Amino acid sequence: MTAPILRVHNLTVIYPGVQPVKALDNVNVEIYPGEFVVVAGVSGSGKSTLLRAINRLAENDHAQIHGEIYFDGVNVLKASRRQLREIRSRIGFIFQEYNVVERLPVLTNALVGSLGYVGLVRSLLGRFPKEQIERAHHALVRVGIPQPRHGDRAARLSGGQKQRVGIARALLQKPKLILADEPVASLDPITANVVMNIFKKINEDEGITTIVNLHDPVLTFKYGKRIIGLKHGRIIYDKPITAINRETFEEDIYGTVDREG
Amino acid sequence: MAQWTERARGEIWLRRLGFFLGLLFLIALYGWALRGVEFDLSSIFKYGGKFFELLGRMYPPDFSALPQLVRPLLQTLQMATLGTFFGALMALPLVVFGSQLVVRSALIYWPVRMIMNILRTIPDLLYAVLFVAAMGFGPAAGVGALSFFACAIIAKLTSESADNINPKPIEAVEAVGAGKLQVIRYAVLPQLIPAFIDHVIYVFELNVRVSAVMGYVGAGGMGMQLTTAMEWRNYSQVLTIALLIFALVIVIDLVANRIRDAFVQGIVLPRPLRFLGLSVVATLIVWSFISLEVDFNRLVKGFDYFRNLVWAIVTDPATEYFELAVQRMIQSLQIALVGTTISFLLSVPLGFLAARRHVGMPVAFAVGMKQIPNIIRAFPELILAIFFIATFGPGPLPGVLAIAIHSIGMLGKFNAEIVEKIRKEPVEALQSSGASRLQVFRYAVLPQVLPEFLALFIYRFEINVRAASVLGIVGAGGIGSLINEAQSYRAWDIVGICLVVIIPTVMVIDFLSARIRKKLIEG
Repeated sequence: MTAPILRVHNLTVIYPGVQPVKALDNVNVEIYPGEFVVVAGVSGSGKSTLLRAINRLAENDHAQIHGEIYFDGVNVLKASRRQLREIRSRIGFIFQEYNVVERLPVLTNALVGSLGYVGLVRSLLGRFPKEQIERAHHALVRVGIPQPRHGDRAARLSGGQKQRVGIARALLQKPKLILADEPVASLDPITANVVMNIFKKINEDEGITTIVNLHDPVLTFKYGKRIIGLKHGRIIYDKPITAINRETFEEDIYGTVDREG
Repeated sequence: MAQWTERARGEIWLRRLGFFLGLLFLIALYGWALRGVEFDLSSIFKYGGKFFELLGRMYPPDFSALPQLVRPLLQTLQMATLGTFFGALMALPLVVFGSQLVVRSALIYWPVRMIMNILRTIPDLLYAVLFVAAMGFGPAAGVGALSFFACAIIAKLTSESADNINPKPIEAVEAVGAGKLQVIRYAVLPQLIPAFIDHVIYVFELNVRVSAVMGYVGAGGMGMQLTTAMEWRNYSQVLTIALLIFALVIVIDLVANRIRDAFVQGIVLPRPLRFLGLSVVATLIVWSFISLEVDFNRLVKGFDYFRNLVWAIVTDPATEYFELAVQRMIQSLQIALVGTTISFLLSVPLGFLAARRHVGMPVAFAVGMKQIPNIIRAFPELILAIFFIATFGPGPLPGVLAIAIHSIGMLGKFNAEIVEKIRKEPVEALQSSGASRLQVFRYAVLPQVLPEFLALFIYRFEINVRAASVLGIVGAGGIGSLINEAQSYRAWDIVGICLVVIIPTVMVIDFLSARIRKKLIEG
């Protein structure tokens, strides 16, 4: 069997404060190349913290991360600033709120993904290599943004289109791993399915390992191939979709409303 | 149940007591302030007629002097242009090194922010007085003063924008593995530059207003003509100059507002137009620079003056004048308080009348009423103060009146905007329950607008404290009068003591005002 691309070992994440919050409690998980994993759970279960710990974005929220995270054999938590940037450039991250720069054109927003491959001076002057520009156009068309719109400001796009730009940005990174944190939570159900299909296709066509956080059980069962269930910061499920009984799973993960009422 | 009513009754009594004490406090406060500014209704009525007599003597304006006034008018515009340009250049490093997004170490950004705050406390005319003393009469001093004034405001506003930019795109750019500089280039600057340009244009508007009058203390431009005309009692020329200043301010406001609106709405101009705009601005700057003939030797001399001033403050402060300076500063605060209050009382009804959505008011009427504050705003306080001094003689009262009238401009405009923003739902809820118009006003309209009115009042008070500290320079009471006397005897150490009193006072007022306003708005 091949080596895992991502290995999380005894991961505990604490948000300090007057009342410290333990968002993740001793989490262990291994992800293998090419997998399509859905992390399921209600809000507050620790899904976001898990993804944000993997590329250490959680440090922006002053989180204390304990344990070991190996990406491609390198311990992320021990990495220097420089190594961390190198690691991040190989992990595409998709945000719930898309996080595009509204004032910049669509094309530049996608090109931001290639910053790791462009020299510092060139990137500061905004002179991207022709090859990267080609790739950006290509990636945008691929996620469904036609060429005539590439010069528009990102502010003029709809939510679904902004998320497509977010995916194109991740693709420009030539990622080995895609982490998507509630990528469709702000979208209507139809657009949500369109965007989920893009993730599915990228995973199937290029074999890019993908981890998606979803709170919606319908989408979880429709797209997940392996499902990790989180509750109160602990993994309570980790099985391929075929081995999961949908009804007991929903009760365990989401709890049933009528039982509480 | 009985217990509950007991407690409620106790609370009601407590609230009544609080209300009563608050009322007593307000009466005492205003009694004290009114006496401090020598407010006297009978003298207002007695001499008020003289004000209109004065206006009568000004009419008709003397347009024969117009050709001689073209050059000072252009000079006013040139000083404002250069002042804004240098101010923006000086503000950039302050913004960059004062931002937590760029600089990690508090050892760097705290001192930078401190400098920013101190620069911000010094009022416009005070800069003018200092620079005239440092660099001699003429436009060079005007450019110097305007540069510092502009730098302070641009730096402050842009840093506030920098603190409020959306952190989410920053996270996205970090997540692709970009370095610090790349994050600034792709996530911070695109968000910050539009705000910066917006602030620069806004400050240009302010600079034109200041530049038009600061010549009154010798800093070049139109204001110098105003001094001469006032001294020769050439009243018809005074009116001509006032009208010209008024026209200049209105035109610049209109143009600048158009451009700023376009920026806020994010309208993208085609490349040739953008290029044209840039070259117009560049030409304006170069033209101003050439025709003002700024003498750089004077800059060196000016630097000496400021070194001496700071040296005098540190080594040999005129402590014997400290008490007097504090007394005069208190009078400035009283002037600001009374002036702002009168203005507030006048502009609340104006706000309701000018609000377009107010029930039962024809739109054309509201639009007409809305022009009143716009027109008043274009008349600089200083000119009003000069007119009132000519009417009532020097003293704090002209200062109060100048502030009271000029502030109607901003208060009336913003009050109207507050009334227009009222949420309709509570009004409709009361109407549907059969409440009378007065009841609707008391229970649905007033609770919505009152906190915002008060917040605006406090904000204007904060601005007027600065104005009241300098209007004395032309004879309108407060600490400015002390600066004026000290300046004419070249007593730097006394000017220094005034600065030592003004800067912390204004800082404390700013801080308290920001605190209270936040409380009022957020509830």
